Amino acid sequence: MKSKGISTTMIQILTALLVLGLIAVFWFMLIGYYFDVEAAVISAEVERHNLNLAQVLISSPRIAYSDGDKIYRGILDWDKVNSQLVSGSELLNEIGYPNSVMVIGVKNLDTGDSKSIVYFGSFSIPGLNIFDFIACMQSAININIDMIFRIPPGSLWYISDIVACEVTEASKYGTEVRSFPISIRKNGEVHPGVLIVTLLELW
Amino acid sequence: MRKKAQAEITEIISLVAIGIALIFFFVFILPKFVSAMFQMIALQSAKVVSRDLAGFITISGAATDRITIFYQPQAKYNVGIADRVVIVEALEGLKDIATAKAGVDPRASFKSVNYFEIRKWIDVQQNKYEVEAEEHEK
Repeated sequence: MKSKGISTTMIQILTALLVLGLIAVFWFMLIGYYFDVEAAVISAEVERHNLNLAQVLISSPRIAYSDGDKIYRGILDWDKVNSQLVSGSELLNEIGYPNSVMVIGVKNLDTGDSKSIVYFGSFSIPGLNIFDFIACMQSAININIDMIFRIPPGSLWYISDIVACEVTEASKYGTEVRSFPISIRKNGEVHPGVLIVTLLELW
Repeated sequence: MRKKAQAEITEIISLVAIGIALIFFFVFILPKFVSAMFQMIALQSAKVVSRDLAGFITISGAATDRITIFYQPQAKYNVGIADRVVIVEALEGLKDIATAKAGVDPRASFKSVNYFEIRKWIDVQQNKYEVEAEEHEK
């Protein structure tokens, strides 16, 4: 009788452990993985845009040196730089992120000559983060019986979902300044130079 | 009495074995399974695909000659690319909608596609971009 009691208790303990283990694993996996994925998706968005912008700029036939046959990536033609880093140029119309302010600077480290321009990317309504926020909220709608226990009662969202959407979208704003080593070709000579790209994503 | 004692020992050994099996399952098998499942869901999300597409379109401009980038995500999507914004609607998995900004300006629109080709070439000192997409068998 005593041993039957012991084995029954052990089965109950194991069952409880099983349930606790399941809850713990799902909780940690859900929470942990959700934040890992979110971090991977949103991390350094402005930084990536800045890097991409610089890479496209130093390869553009509008300002990169060309011998007529091929374009030399990373070697900027000083004459082209002077003609293209002006307001309304083809280069600035072709390259740039919407709803952003960009500052492009080129400096010749031998002579000290420099050229820079501040320009605004095109205004794009679908590119506004508020639409991403709305899309995020749409995907987070959760209709079930526990709606009456939410704050406020009857809300379509859990507070944690609203906070997650806000954090995700707010993190897309920001400024990134980066400088890149380049070469500058001026009057047939090649000089060391630097390209400084500042990207301010507004909304 | 002896048989009863033997039965108790067998029961205890069985319980310990089940316990070890459960610990092994929770520690080694279940996390891998859940991790793989979430990874698949994450990679299918419109957010990831819109970011990838916008990134590929932009970075294709860094090629000094011509380039074609092939991209095949794991689900089907409706995609609109205009005004340097890529809008992606996932038709499977989370079925979410997401946008991402691109640094250059191709235009395209596709319904229910899972395979993309991003082309960039130079025409008279100007970068040209084209995005094509279609439905491929998985």
